[in-house]
Amino acid sequence: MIFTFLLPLMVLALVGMMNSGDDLGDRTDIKAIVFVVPGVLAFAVVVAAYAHLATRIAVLRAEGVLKRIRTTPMDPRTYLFAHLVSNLITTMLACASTVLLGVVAFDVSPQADGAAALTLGLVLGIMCFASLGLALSSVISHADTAAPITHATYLPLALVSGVFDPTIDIPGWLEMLVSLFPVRALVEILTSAYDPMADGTLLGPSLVLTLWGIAAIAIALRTFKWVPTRK
Amino acid sequence: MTPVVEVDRVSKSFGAQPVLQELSFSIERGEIFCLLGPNGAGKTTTLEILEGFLAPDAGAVGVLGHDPITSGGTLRRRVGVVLQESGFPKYLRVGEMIETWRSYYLDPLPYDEILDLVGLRNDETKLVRKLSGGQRRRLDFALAVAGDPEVIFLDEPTTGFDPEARARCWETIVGLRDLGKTVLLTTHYLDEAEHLADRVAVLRDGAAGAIGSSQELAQLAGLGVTVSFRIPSDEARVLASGFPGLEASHELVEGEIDDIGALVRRIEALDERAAQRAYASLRIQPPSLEKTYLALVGEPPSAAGTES
Repeated sequence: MIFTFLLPLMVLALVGMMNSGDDLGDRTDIKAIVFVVPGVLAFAVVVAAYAHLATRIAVLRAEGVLKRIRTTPMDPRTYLFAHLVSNLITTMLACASTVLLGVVAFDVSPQADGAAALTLGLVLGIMCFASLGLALSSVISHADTAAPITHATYLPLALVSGVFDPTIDIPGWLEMLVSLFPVRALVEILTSAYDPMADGTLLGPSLVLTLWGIAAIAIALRTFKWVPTRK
Repeated sequence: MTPVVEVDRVSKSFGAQPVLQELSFSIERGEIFCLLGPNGAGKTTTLEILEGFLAPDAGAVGVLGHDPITSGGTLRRRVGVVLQESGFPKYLRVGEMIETWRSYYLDPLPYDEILDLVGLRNDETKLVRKLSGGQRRRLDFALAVAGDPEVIFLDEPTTGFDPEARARCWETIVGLRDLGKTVLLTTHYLDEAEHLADRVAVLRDGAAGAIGSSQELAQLAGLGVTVSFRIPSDEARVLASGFPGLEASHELVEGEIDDIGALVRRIEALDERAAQRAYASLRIQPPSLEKTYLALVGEPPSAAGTES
């Protein structure tokens, strides 16, 4: 839980220190750090809404806590809803502290007209990644493997999506592939909130997040289990 | 009055492996009913069907007149469950867990009554993750009874306990019956079934091989009572020869007989002093459940097999 807050902040502090003065490709108007902050903000969403939720639910299921809850008269929907609300609060706090650290430590703020893009990114991003987290939790059958499996699903993707380094140079075919995945889509939307030159066309990445979100929630609803996997 | 728990010709397979085959039994209000059987006999599967976690392939079950699969919260309000293995949220204290669970029910047992019933009075402020195995099991009980249920399902409540913890657990279970609860428990410990159960169902290959009190089971298994007494040695030899199960050595007559009435009539026929002597030394022992069980299923309950 504490780790979920600290991870994005630590990443932002370290990456920021390393390349805050770097140039950003052929852009002369801004430094790389302006794009690092929204990248890490996307990372905060993925860590809190996706990884934290997936491991938490997977562990609760594997250890039989969900099964125990299911023996009580509490409406299971209420219980799940409470988890999602708690996770939403965690995610928003992690995002807020990341934005704040960007302002305080690196003097990087969202653009005045970036509020819409920021809101759009966070709303679609949190919904999409929480759904994906819920869906992922169903395929994890042991408490021990919950964290490693979860991290393996998003860390490589986050890396090639430019979360830690906006200047990352990857082959064209990989670029194409990555742009179909939701991490890159979220980075693009959030970056446009920080980019003074943003042109405001976010239809593509919004569509990517929405489609992944819909697919994920459909799978999560079909596969959600209250009992541990039979040994 | 309809039974509290009714299992009617229930079958259940996992893949190609049949676990329950036309299992039937019913439990009356206020009974402690025990499912006894080797690992893999289907005890846990039976409970999971009654708890609504599994649907039977064939047959029907009723708990308090409800179908456990479809009745949802209505039934769960009236049923307490101790699962064979289930975790706790790690960062809560014992008292907080119990209060949380009480809040799930409309009319829960008083907090203090729960603590006393399960014997966690001194552990109220302990973190759940720091509890010993025995204390965790007691917390399982506490949560199962938090809602003041009418029926309680206990899946191997004392497995892995030391003798003292087991004795405390038995006290709790008897305490539940004293509160008017109906208890269904599974065990593979014969002494546990013998000590606690009003009636026992011996599960074998997914069906109830025999159901009844341990005395009734002994009759079913064709076991007689064990007797011993002393009479003068010449009388002893003659008397023992009239009962195939009895043997005489000097003054001692002992063995197993089916018809205790016949023995009493035979003793009455002796002269008065010999009869007095017999009665003064007479010991009658019902067959142990262990003996009955072995006669019924032919192997000890802890014999190898996979749990299901």
